[in-house]
Amino acid sequence: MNVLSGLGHGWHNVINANGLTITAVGMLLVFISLTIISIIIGSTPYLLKIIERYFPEQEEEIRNSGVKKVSETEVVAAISAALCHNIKSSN
Amino acid sequence: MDFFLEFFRTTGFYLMTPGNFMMIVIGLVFIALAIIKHYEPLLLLPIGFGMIVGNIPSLASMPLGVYDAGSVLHYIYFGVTQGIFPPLIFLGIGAMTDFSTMLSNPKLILLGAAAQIGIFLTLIGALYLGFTPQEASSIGIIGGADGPTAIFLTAKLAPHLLGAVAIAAYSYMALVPVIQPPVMYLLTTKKERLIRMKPPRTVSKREKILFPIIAFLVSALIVPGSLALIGMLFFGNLLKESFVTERLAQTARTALIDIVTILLGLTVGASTQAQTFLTKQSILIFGLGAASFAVATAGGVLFAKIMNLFVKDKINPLIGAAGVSAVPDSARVAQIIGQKEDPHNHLLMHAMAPNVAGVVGSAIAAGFLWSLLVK
Repeated sequence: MNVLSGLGHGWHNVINANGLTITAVGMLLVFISLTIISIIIGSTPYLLKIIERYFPEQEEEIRNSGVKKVSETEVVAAISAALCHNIKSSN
Repeated sequence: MDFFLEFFRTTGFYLMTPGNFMMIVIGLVFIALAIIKHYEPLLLLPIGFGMIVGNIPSLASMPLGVYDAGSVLHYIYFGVTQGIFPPLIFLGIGAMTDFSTMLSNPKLILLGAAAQIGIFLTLIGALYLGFTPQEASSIGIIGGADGPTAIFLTAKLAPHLLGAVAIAAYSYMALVPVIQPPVMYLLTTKKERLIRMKPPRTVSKREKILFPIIAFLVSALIVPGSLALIGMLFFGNLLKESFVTERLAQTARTALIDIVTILLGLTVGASTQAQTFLTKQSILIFGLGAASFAVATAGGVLFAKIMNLFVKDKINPLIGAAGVSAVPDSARVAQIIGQKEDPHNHLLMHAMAPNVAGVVGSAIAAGFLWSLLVK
């Protein structure tokens, strides 16, 4: 613990501890890592399209995705109910 | 009478110092903020109560506090000092995080990277003030707005600052709705705050499963020091997205994370004994911590504005503030400020992308600093 003692405070501490280099390299590494992840994520859908030609996503996988499949009639009914509720509450 | 006086000398009333009393009052303020203002109650309440527990004075011969070998609190605090609790919390976070919005608009990940500037500029500030590189890194990581990451790195590099860094990190995380808005208003115009973003596309199940594996490999191979945190985060997410380990995912995002949060919050609070906590260092750490949050917010917002110079689909710069990884509070702040300008503009789902990217970014930054400065 050398806070405000020993070296004291000043830019020489930053220079001696390579503070600017640490900052530059650290930010660069964070950006490189996240940029690579971003590029891979961006290209995954295209890659998956090619894979799906040979290994199509099975019906069971879609069912397991947690999204319940609903018919068009059910969607229309839900929208109507919401609109009806909205009109009633605004009156 | 002598017997009574002898006993009285062992009580907290007799041994209480003004410092202990002050810390107990601060603990009560934390509890009040949690209950009345609902500021991060899951964290502030255990920490606040821990502060009271840690500042009840006792005889030196009685091992009761977190620093007394053999005490119950000391054993629990082992999980903090050895960096066991933070990765377990990351497991739970991974199991409850939906990365869909990030996967649907991957360029927003860069906002999470930009906000990490708060960590490194604060590191420079701390070095300037005379802290050692290890101490400066532990203070800088507060700017990551990620409590577990801050605790993990501080436990590895500067364990003597653990109490102050943890309290600063969690206090400022709770104060995100207070710290961020002024910076966001200052750096954006009304026109920018009104920008509406394209709704995110639907993400396939295969993408969601591949993401944690790919992201883990990239992060851990570039910065192996981030392995413990990033590994657990993405492992938790794989448990969730695979749909074949629902029981494990459920446990990780409920019981496990709750138990660890209780133990971590209570012992971190109890580590703020006045004798070790009330120092000039702690005041400097709190000052630098506030600055780091503001700088991180500014970094995210400004980078969003820079990105807008190059991208076709404009980004609302408010979501840049969510690049600090206080999940989901900073995303919620972006949503609230956006809705003040346009009540029909829903930024939350967009803001979640830089928000979760910020978690990954701060863990990578912590891994880098640990690899570089470990003795």
